[in-house]
Amino acid sequence: MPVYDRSYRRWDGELKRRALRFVPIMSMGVKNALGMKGGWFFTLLLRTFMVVSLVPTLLLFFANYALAFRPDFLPLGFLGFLEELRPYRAIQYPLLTRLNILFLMVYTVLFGSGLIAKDRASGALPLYLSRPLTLADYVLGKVGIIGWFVAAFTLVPNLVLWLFGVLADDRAGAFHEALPLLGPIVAQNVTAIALYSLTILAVSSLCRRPMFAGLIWFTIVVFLPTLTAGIGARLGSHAIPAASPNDALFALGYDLFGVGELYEQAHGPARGDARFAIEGVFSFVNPFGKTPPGWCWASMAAWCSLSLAVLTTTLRRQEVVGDSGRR
Amino acid sequence: MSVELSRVSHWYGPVIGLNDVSLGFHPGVTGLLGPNGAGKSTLMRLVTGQAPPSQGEIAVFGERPFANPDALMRMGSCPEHEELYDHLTGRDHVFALLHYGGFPAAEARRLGERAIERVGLAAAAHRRVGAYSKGMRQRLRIAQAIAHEPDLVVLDEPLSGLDPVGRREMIDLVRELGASGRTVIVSGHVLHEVEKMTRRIALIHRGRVLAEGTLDEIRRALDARPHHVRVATSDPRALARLLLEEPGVVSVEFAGGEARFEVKEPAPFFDRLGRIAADGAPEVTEFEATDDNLQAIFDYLVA
Repeated sequence: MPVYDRSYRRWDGELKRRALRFVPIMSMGVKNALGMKGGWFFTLLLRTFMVVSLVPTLLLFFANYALAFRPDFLPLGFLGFLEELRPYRAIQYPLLTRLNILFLMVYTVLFGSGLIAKDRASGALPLYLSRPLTLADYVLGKVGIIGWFVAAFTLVPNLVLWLFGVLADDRAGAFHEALPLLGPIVAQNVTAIALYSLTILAVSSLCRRPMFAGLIWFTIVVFLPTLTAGIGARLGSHAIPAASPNDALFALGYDLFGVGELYEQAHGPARGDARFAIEGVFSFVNPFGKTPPGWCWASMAAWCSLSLAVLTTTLRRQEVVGDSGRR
Repeated sequence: MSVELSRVSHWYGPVIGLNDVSLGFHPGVTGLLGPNGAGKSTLMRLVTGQAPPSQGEIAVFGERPFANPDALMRMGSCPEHEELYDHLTGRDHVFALLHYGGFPAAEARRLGERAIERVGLAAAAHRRVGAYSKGMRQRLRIAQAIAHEPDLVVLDEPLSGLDPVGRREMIDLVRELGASGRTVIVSGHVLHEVEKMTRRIALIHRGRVLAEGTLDEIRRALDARPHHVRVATSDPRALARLLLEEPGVVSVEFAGGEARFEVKEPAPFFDRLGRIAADGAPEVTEFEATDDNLQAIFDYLVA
């Protein structure tokens, strides 16, 4: 056996903690996604869309600000409408989620469809797995990337809106009144983050082209409600629409925030146009008002579990079989 | 022993990639040789923890490598078909991979910078990987494999895509890595290039290890095959007369000023040839064992 000079020195510093190994994957992924560039037209479209997507959130912020500090900014009719809709504070959270859903879907497809598909297409998975990382770190990192974007349109604006509402309300006991809303806000939005992140990653792991992944996901999310609504109406079942992830999410918010009870409260005294508008808001927040919450939770759990199973099975197979197995 | 495989098999569905392989790798460079589809890349994937073996045990520094971050921390690998992120610069690419591995950002920058310099990419480190030539991409792959100063470096076809100057530099780098005490496993099928990197090889064919050891050890083990020796001399026939007295000489052919011998027992033959050359009658100007090289051994074992 030859004697070597052992001139190299192993790096003996402190590595990031095992539990946090996914964080660099997430942070660099988010940074890359935000810096995504295409042609000038695509960049312009993306930037415009980003600005437009902030409109519902900004509108609700403005409404809250105006109600608290400058009611004269709001038209009298709108103030009257809010009066009928009292307590509007509870409704605005599921309403914001509902308003943001289109943007959320576009961002999910835009930033999520290629997260694993691109790695599969380019054979970059070994890049990750040759590092001191496990498959779980990789998946967590990817969930973190898309979860960050989903949270930016669900949990974050809702929480900021809640905080703003509390700070802007100078009534005694306003904080205690608003506190019970935190639970539903977290529950609905964390469910949305898990649902959107896991489903798009599962589809992305099945495809090698982000475009196909996006199309498949969009088809599931956009056309399934029509299908389940049709079947539900035909069979006279309120449970079937819960199979659609978006409808289950809306119905969940409806239940968590007690919108049904608010509807009952608002239903009585409202008259004429106001009543029509109020009913419009409620049915916008939850198109299938009678979907049983248990079915919604079951549907959410099923979608998340199925996505996780698909994701881990596909990646595990990729890991075991690898590129050589496909050539 | 740095890496030890005991009765390892791996299959892809019905296709066997590795078949009952037992093999060990020591510090220094070991060449992994075999034709395309022999199982070299599969073996490397298993050693680098990219997949678990279907059967058998693999130990890298005493630990199972699959899904084991502690073992992965001690190795650097450069898979043949590994792709790179084209939108990142070379510098950012190496940084990202080090950072993913748990290195703090500042340390990842420092180590990445050093690795890039080491593979001769410093001048192009700020350019996007998408604009790199094949050779530059190959250097970048190697940079990310050695950046964290691993104890084990596994390089799958590291010379592919490199120009002659790049090949020369890469061969030197591999030898340097081996000489510094690391265990380096390097695969290839361009035999003379592997031979320039190391004399220690493992020959794989159809998922099995045909031979392992130094070239000399393997050649000696192939005693059934006569050695071929070419001797340039002033009088080939006179030389043949003298050497045919040796018991191990099987045959002789003449071509111009050369005599070509087939020898079963090389030691007494070379003793005698040395004495003749020293006496100078007939004059021996050059001699060479024509099949004491990798190509010949490879041909014997694989053909």
